[in-house]
Amino acid sequence: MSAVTEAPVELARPDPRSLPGETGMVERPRRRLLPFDPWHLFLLPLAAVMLLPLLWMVVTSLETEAQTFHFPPILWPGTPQFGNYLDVLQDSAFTRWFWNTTVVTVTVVASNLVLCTLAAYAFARIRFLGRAFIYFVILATLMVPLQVVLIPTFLLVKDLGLLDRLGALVVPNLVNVFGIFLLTQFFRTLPIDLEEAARIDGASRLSILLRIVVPLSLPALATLAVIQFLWTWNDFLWPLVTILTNQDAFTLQLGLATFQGSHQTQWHLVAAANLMSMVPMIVLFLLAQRYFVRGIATQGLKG
Amino acid sequence: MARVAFDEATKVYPGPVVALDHLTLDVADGEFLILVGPSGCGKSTALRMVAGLERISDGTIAIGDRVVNDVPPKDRDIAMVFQNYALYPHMTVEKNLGFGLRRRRAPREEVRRRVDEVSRMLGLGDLLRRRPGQLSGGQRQRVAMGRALVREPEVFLLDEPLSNLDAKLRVQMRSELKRLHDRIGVTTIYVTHDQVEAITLGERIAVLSDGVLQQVGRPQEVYDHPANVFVAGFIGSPPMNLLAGTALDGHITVGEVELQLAGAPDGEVLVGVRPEGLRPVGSEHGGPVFEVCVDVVEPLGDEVLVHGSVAAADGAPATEADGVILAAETESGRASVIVRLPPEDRPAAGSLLRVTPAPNALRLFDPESGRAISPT
Repeated sequence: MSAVTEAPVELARPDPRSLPGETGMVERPRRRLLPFDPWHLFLLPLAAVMLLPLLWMVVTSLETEAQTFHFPPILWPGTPQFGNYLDVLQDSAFTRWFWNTTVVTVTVVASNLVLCTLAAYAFARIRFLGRAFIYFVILATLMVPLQVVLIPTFLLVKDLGLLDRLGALVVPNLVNVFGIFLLTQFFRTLPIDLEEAARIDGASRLSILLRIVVPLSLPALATLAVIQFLWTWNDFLWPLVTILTNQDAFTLQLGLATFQGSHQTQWHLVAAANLMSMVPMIVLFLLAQRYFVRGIATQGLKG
Repeated sequence: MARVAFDEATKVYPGPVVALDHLTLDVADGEFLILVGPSGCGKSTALRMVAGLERISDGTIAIGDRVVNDVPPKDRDIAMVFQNYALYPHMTVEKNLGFGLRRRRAPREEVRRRVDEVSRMLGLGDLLRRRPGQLSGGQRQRVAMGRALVREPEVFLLDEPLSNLDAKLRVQMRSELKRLHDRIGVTTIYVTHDQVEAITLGERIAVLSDGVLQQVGRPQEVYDHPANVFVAGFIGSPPMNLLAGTALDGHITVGEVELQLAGAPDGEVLVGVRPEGLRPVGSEHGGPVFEVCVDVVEPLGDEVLVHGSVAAADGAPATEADGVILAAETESGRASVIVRLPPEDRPAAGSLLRVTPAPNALRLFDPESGRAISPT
């Protein structure tokens, strides 16, 4: 016992950084022509171009209606009209739309996390007859654009009696093929030894999934959650098709569209409402920036 | 404690590829058995079959008195240490150690007590709150051992547990492993491709090649009396020298040298001799003498390895085992040999070294089958 406990392992390995010949050496700073990376010369103007529409929206949301039509455009209103935001909240069902969108988005994201995980784990780890074929067929549906399946899906939703209800927005999106694909690929990269060790340790399949696979897949799950949130929150076409007359079931994107009349559009209110509808996404983006980037890097499939 | 019995255990992968071919092997209760062989020989498959991670295609494996072919891994009462340790990266050392017990619904105090006990035994006390990523290779290795020990299993399965450690640490962990086994005495099956590990650790070693069991025995016995050319080449570093010869009436002619070996059957034979079985002699020596043309001299500090060639019959075999060439023909009529000498006898490269086989150092093999011929 004593022999096992003595002789700490680290002693056997000297720290490579403290080799005698290297101590005291100071790394010379690299000489640079510019105080910043030359890429910034290209990227900064690009960023400005990207940010300009957003800035314009912020400015517009603080203008009076007359100012929005002024030419040349006013870059900064003299007195910011914060009342525009209040007008949106009071004159429209904005809170209702916001709530509807939140309910739909949270439900869809949660169900995707659960169902995609289950499906992906089966595809990644459980051997069953026709696994490769079924996986292939499911993946193939990724290639079919929404417009193609719009009418069949609409008819299904109609037969389910979900038209004009939030269920119409939730049910067809409970599982997203992209999520299955993303998680399957990720699960396959996890070392199988961990699961085998857990099996020997007495863990059941479900226990392995919950205690080993899921905790190790948090980055992938976060990526999926973020992407799904983005898609669902911003979706316009599908709500437009399925929510016909029931204004109580309007989502934010549908509600925002009502600001644009056929004869007159109150751009300052549109801008204010749009900005408020973007708040959750801006917050999400700031919190989970790296998962956005990872998701975009791994997808390139749907947007 | 339990014994483990392979009875004609066979594993066939789709292809079909026979990974393990009718393995029959008994591991006694409390024994430390080493499964050794080159990569792809089926040793890990055999271990995984005991663990229940691979289905058994044919035959049976029994742990204790119970045939476990259809028993899931968790009910086999075994613990396994994986080559890459397979520690759960998101759990602390403490959680890693206790995972198996918690899955078996052991009471909280019991888990704590056993985790404490094992961490004290392995010197992991200070590391309990760390995660595997914050540990050195040796520490991870110990946690992996600890995770297996904490469950107090009937059988211990180790799959190349030392192969990811650096050479120095490996030697240290080797002796720790041995001490540990002496203390707890659990039946242990240890898989390795490293024949040094096999010889130093095992009570018995089982040599596998291409899924077929070649020889089982105590390490010294396997080293001294290899059952065939494969074992002769695989066990021992450098491998046994093999020279082609012809036997007639108890005399074996190898090149220009005539050896006496009673009981050798007439015909073509392979003569095997360990590098230390060749002793340097002076020019006045009367017995059989091989004249070795010295090519390369490798001083190892405590000994010197002399690589050279001797005159031998044409057709000396060039058998390969795990990339090691046993007896490569250097040029027509010559065969390469390796001689192990004490450092003070170090010859110069290019010189002529006269050696004679030590008494009882010669082994005979059938050149066709490769099997050892026991002198009658």
